[in-house]
Amino acid sequence: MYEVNSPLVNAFAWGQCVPEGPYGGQFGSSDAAHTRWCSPSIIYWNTWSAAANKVSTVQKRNYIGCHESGHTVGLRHRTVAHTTCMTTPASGPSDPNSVVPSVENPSSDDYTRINLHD
Amino acid sequence: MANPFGSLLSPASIARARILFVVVSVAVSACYGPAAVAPNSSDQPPEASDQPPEASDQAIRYPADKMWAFLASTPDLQRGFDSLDKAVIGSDAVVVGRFVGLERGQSYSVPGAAFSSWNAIALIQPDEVIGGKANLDARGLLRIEFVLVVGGKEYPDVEFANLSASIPGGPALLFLVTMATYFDRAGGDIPEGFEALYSTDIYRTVGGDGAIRIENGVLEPPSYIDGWPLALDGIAISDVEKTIRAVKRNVAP
Repeated sequence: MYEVNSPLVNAFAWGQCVPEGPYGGQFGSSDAAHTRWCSPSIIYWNTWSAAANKVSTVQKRNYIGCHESGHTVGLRHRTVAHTTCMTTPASGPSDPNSVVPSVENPSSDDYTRINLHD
Repeated sequence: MANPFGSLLSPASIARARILFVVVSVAVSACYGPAAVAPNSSDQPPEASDQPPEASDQAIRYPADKMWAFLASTPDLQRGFDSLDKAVIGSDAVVVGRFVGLERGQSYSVPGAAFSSWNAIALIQPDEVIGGKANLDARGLLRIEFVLVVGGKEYPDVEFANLSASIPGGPALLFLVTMATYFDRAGGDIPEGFEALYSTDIYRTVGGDGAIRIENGVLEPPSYIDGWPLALDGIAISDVEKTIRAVKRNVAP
């Protein structure tokens, strides 16, 4: 996980295939549902002030870490708010009113999905 | 940061996750070296080329929805607005346009940063400006700048070639803001190194709701979106144009 000040990317954090890896740095925005997965991948944490200022509590930071780590093990976004860190903010950091969730953990259903691959 | 997956993972999953993270770490280290070492590419724009590099045999061909989605530079593709009316009012330009080309952009980073943002520019031929004002370049094209890749030491030629080979042919209904509007709404912080992007001539789509394809004269919202764009599914663009013009008329001073 790396920090980057990237104002053009309207996200608090995101995953991306490693730029010089076999998948040529595919950018996450090509698929909002994250139905694509690659390895190796890299997580960027956006330090642009519009993003960083909204990640203002330990709970919000843990949400970001949990969410992006979830993608690295294959979890997609979930629409079940308040129960899993795989939910998404309603809007990106460029929206002054955007709110970062504070859900710090995956749901039991997320664990089940991960363990399905055993 | 605490491991959010903790003890509920099975031993096999934990082992696989550990292998994954080791692979990621090794690969990232191999590509970048220590994170503190900057590639320092921000003052070295890629060489201009009239011809994109040829895609390899393993080239990725992106479907039209995803090509339009790239232009939002919003990985999770959240909507910019929660209704059509708000999207019309909040956009600097509402345009029916076609993706006619792709140009290399420059790289941007703050001084001393380890990672640069490597950009590309989508060239859009406007069929019709339905609302607002579209600032066109000398060729009569709209320029939408978007992030191709973050990181890496050189321009992402492979990715650029993949996208160049995937340019969709049909039109789309576009909701656009200038980069100046984007930065202003976000609070006005433009990091050092990105100042050149504060422009009223460079656009971006408003979010996941910023581009809706038009197939045979009717709108076809992308599969990844939810909310108001879904209500436009199957509606004739001519009817939506009337609605957009009416919204614009109602808010005109």
